[in-house]
Amino acid sequence: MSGLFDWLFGRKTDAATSSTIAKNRLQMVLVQDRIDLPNEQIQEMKREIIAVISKYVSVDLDHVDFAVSNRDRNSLLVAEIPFRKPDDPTSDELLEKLAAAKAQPSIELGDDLAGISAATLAAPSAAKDVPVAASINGTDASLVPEEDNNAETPADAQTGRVKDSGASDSTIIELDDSASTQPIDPVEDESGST
Amino acid sequence: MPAHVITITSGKGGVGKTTTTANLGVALARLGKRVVLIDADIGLRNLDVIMGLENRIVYDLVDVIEGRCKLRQAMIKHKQFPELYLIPAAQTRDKNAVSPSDMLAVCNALRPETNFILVDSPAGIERGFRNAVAPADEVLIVTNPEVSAVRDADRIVGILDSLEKKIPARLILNRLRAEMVRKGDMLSAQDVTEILALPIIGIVPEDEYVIPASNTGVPVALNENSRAGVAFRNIARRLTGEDVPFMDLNEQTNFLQRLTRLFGK
Repeated sequence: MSGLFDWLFGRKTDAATSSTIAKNRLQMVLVQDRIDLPNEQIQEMKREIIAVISKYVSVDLDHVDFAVSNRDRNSLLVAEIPFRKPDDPTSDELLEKLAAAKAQPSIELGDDLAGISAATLAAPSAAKDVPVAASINGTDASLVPEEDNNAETPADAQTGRVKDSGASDSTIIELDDSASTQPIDPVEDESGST
Repeated sequence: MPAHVITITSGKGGVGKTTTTANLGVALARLGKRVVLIDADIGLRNLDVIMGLENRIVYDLVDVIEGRCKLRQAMIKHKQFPELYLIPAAQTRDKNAVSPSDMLAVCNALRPETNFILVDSPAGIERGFRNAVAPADEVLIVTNPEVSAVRDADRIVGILDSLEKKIPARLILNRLRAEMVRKGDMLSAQDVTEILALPIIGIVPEDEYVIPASNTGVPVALNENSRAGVAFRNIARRLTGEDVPFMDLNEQTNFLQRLTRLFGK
C-alpha cells in the first residue's frame, strides 16, 4: 500500500512520519467525503471493477489495491491491478512476444484493452470479439506483470494509457471522474505483427 | 466607505474563530479602521468575554432583530478604540432566533458607516453557520494543523462551493508549532494548503500568551511580546490590501533564551 502512496504523492519511501501519515489519510478521507459515496458502495464498485477486469485477464487478487486521490479539488480513483503470473512453461515464449510488442511503441490501446495479451496483439482482428485472455498453444495466455520484465521500462503501449505517471512498476488503470472518459477503441496494430 | 463584510468560520469548534475575530477586530481598529464585530453564536456567546466587554451588554443581536432596540443601542463601544464596536449574541436563545435575511438586514444597515464588519460564526454547518455566511463578502476559514480540523474545514469549503452566491474564501492556519512540523509530528502549512487547495492569508503560531489574554479580556494583538499577536496584526494588514511577508515561525530553542523566559521578561 505504501508503494502506491509514494507513487501517488511523489514521496521517497524513507520516513513514515506521523505528519506524512496524517496527510495521506486526510487525502483519502477527503475524497470519500467529497464524492459522497457510502463505503459499502465503494466496496461494491471495487468488486465490480475487479470482476470486469477478470473477464479479460487473470487478476492477482491478493495484491489488488485501490486508492482515491485528489489533485486541486478533483478526485481520482487509482486502481493497481496486478495480473497473475502464469505457471506454465510457455511463459518464455510469452515474454518474447511481449518484448516484440513493446518494441513497437506506436501501438495505441484503449483503456479497456490495457494489459492485452501478446497473442491478441499479434492478431488484431480477433481482439474485438474474443476475450483478451486468448489461448496460446492451448494454455492460458495471462499477461505477465511488467515488474517481472524490465522494471526500468516506463509505462508504454502494453499498459495502455497511463495518466501523469513517473516510472510505474505495475499496470495501473486510472479512472478520472473529472474528465470525460475516452471512447473504447479496438486495437490497431499499425506496424504489423509476429 | 462601504464596508467589507468578513465571516470567520471553521466547521470544527475550538480552532480559534472567536480569538481570531477579536484579534482581527482590534488589529484593524489599531490601523485606524472603523470596525463592528458581530457574535453570531446565539446561545453560546463568547466574543464578549474574549473582548473583555461582558459587563457592558445591555442589548444583543436578537433584541435588534426582534425590534426591542435600535441597532446603535446594541453596539458596545470599545474603551481603547472608539471606532471598534461589538454586537453581542443573545445567551438565552438559540440559532433559530436569527435568519439569514436578518443578518443581511443588520449588515446592510451597518455598511454605510463602517470599514469592516467581522462576523464570528458558530461551529457546525447548520443554521448558525448559514446565518453567519449570509451577509459575507468574504469568508476566512480558520483551521488547525490537525486531521479533524482540516477535514471539517474541507466540508465548509465544499458547502461554500455549492452556494449560489460564490463567496471567496481564504485560510487561516492557527496554532501551528514549527518545532513539531520540523520533527514530522505536525502537518505543515504547505500540507494543509495542498490538501484544502485554498489560498492562505495567515499562519498563527501556538502561543502561551493567548490564554492569559482571554483571562484578562485583552486580545493578544495588543501584546507586543506575543508572536500570535504579530501574526494577527499581519493578517489585518493583509486584509487592508497590504502585502506582508509571512513570519519566520521557527521557535527559539536556544537554551539561554529559554532561561531568560523562565525568569520572566
